[in-house]
Formats: sequence, structure tokens, C-alpha cells
Amino acid sequence: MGAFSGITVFDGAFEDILAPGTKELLACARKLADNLDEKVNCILFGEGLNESLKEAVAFGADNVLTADTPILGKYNPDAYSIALERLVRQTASRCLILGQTSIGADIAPRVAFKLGCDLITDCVEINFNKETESFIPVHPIYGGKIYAAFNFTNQQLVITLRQKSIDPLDRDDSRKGNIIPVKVDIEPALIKIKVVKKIKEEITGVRLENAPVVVTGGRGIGSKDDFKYLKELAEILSGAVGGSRPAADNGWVPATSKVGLTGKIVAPKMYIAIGVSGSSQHLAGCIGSKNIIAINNDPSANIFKVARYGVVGDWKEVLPSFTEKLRELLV
Amino acid sequence: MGFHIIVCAKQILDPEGPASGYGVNSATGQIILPKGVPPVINPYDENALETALRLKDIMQVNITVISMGKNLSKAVIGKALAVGADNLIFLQDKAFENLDSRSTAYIISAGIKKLGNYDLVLAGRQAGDTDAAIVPHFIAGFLDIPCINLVKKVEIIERNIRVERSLPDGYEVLEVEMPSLLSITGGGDLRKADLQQITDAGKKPVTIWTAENLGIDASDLKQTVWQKIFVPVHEVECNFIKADSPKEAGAKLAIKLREDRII
Ligand SMILES: Cc1cc2nc3c(=O)[nH]c(=O)nc-3n(C[C@H](O)[C@H](O)[C@H](O)COP(=O)(O)OP(=O)(O)OC[C@H]3O[C@@H](n4cnc5c(N)ncnc54)[C@H](O)[C@@H]3O)c2cc1C
Ligand SMILES: Nc1ncnc2c1ncn2[C@@H]1O[C@H](COP(=O)(O)O)[C@@H](O)[C@H]1O
Repeated sequence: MGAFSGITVFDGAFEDILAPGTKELLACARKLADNLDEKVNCILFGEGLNESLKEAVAFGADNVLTADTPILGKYNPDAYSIALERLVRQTASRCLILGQTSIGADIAPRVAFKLGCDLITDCVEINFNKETESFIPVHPIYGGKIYAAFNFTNQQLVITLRQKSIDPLDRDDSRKGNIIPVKVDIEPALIKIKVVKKIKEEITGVRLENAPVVVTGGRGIGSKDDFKYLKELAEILSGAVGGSRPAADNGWVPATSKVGLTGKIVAPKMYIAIGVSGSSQHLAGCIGSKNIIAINNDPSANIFKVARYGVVGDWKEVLPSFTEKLRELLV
Repeated sequence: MGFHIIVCAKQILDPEGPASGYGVNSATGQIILPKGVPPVINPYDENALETALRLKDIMQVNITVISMGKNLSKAVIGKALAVGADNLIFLQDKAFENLDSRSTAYIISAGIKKLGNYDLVLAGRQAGDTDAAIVPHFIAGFLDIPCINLVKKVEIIERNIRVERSLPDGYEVLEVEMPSLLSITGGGDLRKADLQQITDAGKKPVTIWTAENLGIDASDLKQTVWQKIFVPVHEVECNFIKADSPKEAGAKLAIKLREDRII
């Protein structure tokens, strides 16, 4: 494809940690690059990066580019998009892949606009047609009720990949790659957006994203107070508590515990949905779970279409005996 | 003088409708949309409008709502006038259908440029049909103004905008000067209009600008082209736990999970 070559992934590596999502991007890029017989570039921003750069090689990168500049130490949308655009031009990458994360989803449109190229966001798959050398990203539309596959041949492209859409490769420390420090000078006048401060809302217990079990409550739970029963269940199973959008909007769970298309993407071994109807937008965040278990008093609720186990009934009656029995079985 | 806030509002099919009516026409490969699902203002755009209204509650603000499409309904978008928007602009043309994000943003930015003076543009975080979250960034690109996405709270301090931007583990506070564009997530449900407001809104005019009015050449617009669309299949057979009472069902569920080695 003429002037462009190679698949480039981008992410931040704050505190020198390669995020699980970055490893997924590398696995996706590796597959595409191997099909094309081209290289995987990994661009990482952050300050004082060292271990994460080596890790990027172990997880699939051929070239790791890093700009260790204080201005890129913390996320700033202007600084990051300016720097990334320059590096993508420099590497003449044919495809740039970012995660559908708060950073990736913010940077991808900025960079695609500057590059003047096409952009498909929030993809659950990126396929490649060897014969036509086309990229075929798949993006769910209408809240996930329909999936749309696009086709791009011979053009530069930016894609964001939904979290947990692909498994990372196994770490292989014998893999060889180049770590390439690059210099990016950004004129301060180009920075229009000022990041004043970051406020972390700590949630105690197991992190939702990594929890082996997630207990999610929906509008059917009815009140914040009643979420204590879900917490109790989650604790027994060493899991985390999540909420549907109404549960988060009503403040029954923190906003950061919302599961779904516009919340967290989880894929635990066990996803227990209680008083959740199973809208397509909610399922977008949990459909990768190994076993979905639903408690709902409406037998026609959509959640039962994707649940492996289901109880039809009022959760107030079902949950206490379920929790009690589990406690008994798990001692 | 006060501030002029422009709110981008898209008309879409109610995204909360059931999945059952959506399908693919096997002959044409085109999408089948459900019948009987009403058009609404994209929910996140309602949040954007409410954000503008809350600013108007406390300072002098003029709100223009701008919507682009082929068949826009005053009955749907006109709700914005009833709850307190001052102007409604339809960018409407038969060429404005099924366009890609860039063309959509190009037209909307042309509409905003035609309006001229503005201090703030608000959009929704994403449209419930495209689920793309691209158009706001691209509008800002065409207007050459800063853009902040995922905004859940807005404050105006002189000509500075101070926002809270949602993060997976909390939020961050950002500052930017006017004019800027913000894409909104949350920020409160849209207020309800009373009967009088609805009647009054019916009398307010809607301005329609076509491609010609905007100086847009339809042949420059690009449609969304899908290679293929399909209905995803996620369904599994559900093991419904049968029992004499809900209480018993709860206990039996736990036993079943143990038997099947899920726990
Ligand atoms: C662009 C967009 C993005 C969105 N993103 C998300 C997202 O990220 N996450 C998300 O969750 N939603 C999201 N939504 C909203 C989504 O469309 C649904 O409105 C939402 O998921 C419904 O939440 P729910 O299942 O809790 O509520 P409901 O749909 O109201 O369902 C409540 C369920 O509880 C059951 N119930 C009631 N009482 C009881 C009882 N006593 N015992 C047992 N069951 C009971 C009812 O039968 C019902 O099935 C999004 C929507 C849009 C348009
Ligand atoms: N046709 C349109 N008319 C008005 N606003 C739009 C239109 N399309 C997109 N937008 C705005 O851009 C946001 C994001 O759209 P999208 O990038 O398609 O997800 C929407 O929430 C709207 O605020």
C-alpha cells in the first residue's frame, strides 16, 4: 500500500505500567501485521518509562517509541494529540489502533482529524482480508443491536478497539524489539486545555474490571440501601459490585461502577445480574462474561436470552436464600 | 450581553426500544429499522441541553439548538424550545442522509459558522444510533476550537470554562477558554415543560437551512458505507431454576452452580 506501512498502537503507560488494554492492542496489531508481513510499532507516553517499554516488546511490539518529555508525563489532550500525530506521520503507519478508553476515545478523533483519514471507533473485531489487503473493522451500532463491518483498502486508518475484545499474547521475554526514544517538542502556545487536577474516587474491595465475579444491580433493586445485599453476595464470592445505568444515575452505585457501552467492560467468570432487564447497551459491557446468571421477576426480560442460569422471581425473596446457601457451600 | 450557547441535538429512534425490530434485509444488505419505535432527541443531547439550561438558570444565556438530518420533526426537536431554548435551526436537505461522521460534522460546523457569534458549543457524548463519539471532535476540528469530551459538569468563570471530565476511576478538572466545544455525559435529565411552555414553543419559528443555504456542495459529502451488517447472536439456552417458592429457587440456584462447578 504505497507509502504507508506497519501497524501502530498507542497508549499511556503511567507509573511505568503497561495496562492490560495495551497488551490487547498489541495482540490485535500483531495479528494484522503478521498478515501483512509488516512491523508493529508501539508508542507509549508517560514519564520515566523503562519496564513498560520492555514489556511492550514481550507482548508483541517490534519497535517501541517513547517520548520521555515532562509535557507528556501526564495526560493532556492537546499535547498528546499533537505528539501522536507527528509520530504517526514519522512512522508512516497505515493503521493506528488505540483502546476505546477515556484517553484512546479522546485522542483517536483528534489525530484522525489532523491526519484527514478515516476513523472507526469502538470496534469489537478488526479483520483483515489478505487478497484485497483490506482492513475490516466491526463496530456495533444502535447500542449493539446491529454490528457493522467496514472495509478499508489502501488508505490510512485510525481504529479504537473495545476493551476485552481480544486476549493478550502470552508474555515472551525472548522476543526481540527496538526501543526508540524520540524527541517531541511542543510549543506551549499550542496547549489550550489545562488539566487542573485529578480526583480519584477510590472504591474499596476488588476492582470491577478485574474481578472474577461481578454482581450487578439494576433499576429493579429500587434503592441505594438495598445494594447492601448485593455487596454481601459479592464479598462471599470475592467479587465486585456493578450497576446498570439507572443504578449509577440514581447514585445507588458510584458512576465509576456502571457496566455497559458507556461504562465499564467486564468479562468475569460469573456475572450475576439482578433486577437488570438486559438492554443491548448494558449487554455491551458484560456479554464477554463466561456465565451470566440472572434474577428477574419478568420471565420475558431480555437478560434471560443471554443468561446460562436464571431465576424468575422477586430478588428480595430469591437473593437471601441464594446468598445463605452459597455461604454454606463455600465454607 | 450574556453568552450564546449552541447545542447539537440529533433526532434518532428511541435507543431504549427493544432489540427485536432490528434486522438486515437479506436482499439489499441494508438495515431494517423497527416500526413503532418513536423518534426522540438523542438522550446525551438532552443532557447537553439540560447543561445549557442550568447555565441559563444562573446567568444570561441565549441557547440555539441545531439539528442536522433529512427528515427532522418539529414535534420531536421542538421540545427543546419548550424547555427553554431560544432558537431552533434545522440543517435539512435530502442530501443530509446516512452521512459519515466527517460529513456530518462538516455540515454542522457550516451551520455554526453561519450563526456566527457563539461562546460555547455543547454536544452529546455519542449518538445512540452511530455510537461513534466522533462528530463533536470533528466539529471542533472544523471550527478550530478546543474540544473536551466526557464532560459531566460545566462552570463558566468570566471567559473561562471549567469542567469535570469523567474518568474510569473518578474525574478530572480541566480549564479552557471560550469559545470551546464540550461533549456531555450526564449532567442531569432534561427538565419537563409545562402545557403553557409547550403551546408557546409551537409558535416559535424553526429556521431551516439547506445545503444551498450553507454553501455546501452535496457531491463533497460522503455516506457511511458498510461492507456488511449483521445481527449479533449472543443467545444461550437458559437453565431456569424451577422450585415451589422463590426462596427455594435461590437455594437451588446455589446448589446448581456448585454441581456444574461454576463455584
Ligand atoms: C447511548 C446509550 C448508552 C447507554 N449506556 C448504558 C450503559 O453503559 N449501561 C447501562 O446499563 N445502560 C446504558 N444505557 C441505558 C440502557 O438503554 C437501559 O436503559 C438500561 O440498561 C436499563 O437499566 P436496567 O436494566 O437497570 O433498568 P430496566 O430496563 O428498567 O430494568 C429493570 C428490570 O428489573 C426487573 N425488576 C423490577 N423489580 C424487580 C424485582 N423486585 N425483582 C426482580 N426483578 C425486578 C424488571 O423486570 C426489569 O427487567 C445506554 C443508553 C443509551 C441510549
Ligand atoms: N445529525 C446531527 N445533528 C445534530 N447533532 C449531531 C448530529 N450527529 C451527531 N451530532 C452530535 O454529535 C454527538 C455525537 O455523535 P456521534 O459522533 O455520531 O456519536 C451527538 O450526541 C450530537 O450531539
